[in-house]
Amino acid sequence: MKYIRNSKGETLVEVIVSLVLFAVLLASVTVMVQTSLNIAERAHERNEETSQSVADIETGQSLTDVDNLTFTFSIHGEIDKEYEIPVVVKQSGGLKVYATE
Amino acid sequence: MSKTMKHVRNNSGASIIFVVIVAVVFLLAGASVLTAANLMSNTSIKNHTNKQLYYYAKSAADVISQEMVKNDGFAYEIINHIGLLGSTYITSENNVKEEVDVPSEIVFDCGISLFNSGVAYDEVKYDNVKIRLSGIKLIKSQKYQNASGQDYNVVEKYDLEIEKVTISFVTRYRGEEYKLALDYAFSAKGGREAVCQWFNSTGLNLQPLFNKAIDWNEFDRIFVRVHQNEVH
Repeated sequence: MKYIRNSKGETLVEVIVSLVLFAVLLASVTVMVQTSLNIAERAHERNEETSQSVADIETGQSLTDVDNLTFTFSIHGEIDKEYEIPVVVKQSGGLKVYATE
Repeated sequence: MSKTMKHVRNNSGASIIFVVIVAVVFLLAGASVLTAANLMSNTSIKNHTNKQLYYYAKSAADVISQEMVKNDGFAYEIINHIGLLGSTYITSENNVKEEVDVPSEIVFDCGISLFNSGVAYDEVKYDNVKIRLSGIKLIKSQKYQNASGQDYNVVEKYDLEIEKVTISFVTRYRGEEYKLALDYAFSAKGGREAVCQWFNSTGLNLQPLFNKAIDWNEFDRIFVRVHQNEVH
């Protein structure tokens, strides 16, 4: 009892400062974890979307025509010929492919 | 007084130290989680970029392959070029198989560009486009004469053999590179060799003897080699 009575302990200011610091820390860590979760979720969604797009392209399903381009294939040198081939750009999710019309 | 109790008694302000220690631990943990999430995000972006790069490369390869199949002019240009290379060849005996002196390998430098309404489509670039014909053999197989045996109405037949056709190019997209090489076996209707005929008197200008004698549809894609980010 003698020891306890003589203990200086924490002042109110120290406790308040500690609590404030702890609250700020907790808020920072919460923000960091929340941001991390959001980033991870977006990455997961992007992976899912990429996988789905790959499946769509491989099966030729759910592709949307988004653009018309001209594919120019030239042979240089003695042959010196140029072939212009119209192609259609098709898209699924974020992935694009193009093919002859 | 025991040492422990002394420590407790003198523990003034320890809560701040405790909070600082917890702060460091929590911040380290938070930073680790954030780093891992960013890594995951970058990996998914790279995965998407790589897939797009692959599909741009594959699209170009497929368009070229289809052009080879559909466009007879393309085949004629290639075959005639080989014929011109052997134009110094002088035909000799009738019905004697002779190999014409042509290079066994020919490489054509090519180019691929994409345009959108006349404006260059910059999203993807193709470099170092080459068509390599290897294992070329041109053999005079037969020489026909008219009934009287005179030379002026002669028709020569040539067997053209190309062991392999390789189309290779580098695709560039968002700072990434993809080298793709497609190997095709050459074959013709009814056999490995394409039958051609001597076309005019200016040189050994070959044309397929019969329409569609060279069936480009029978170009078989043997395998696809992909060397990502390896540009030689």
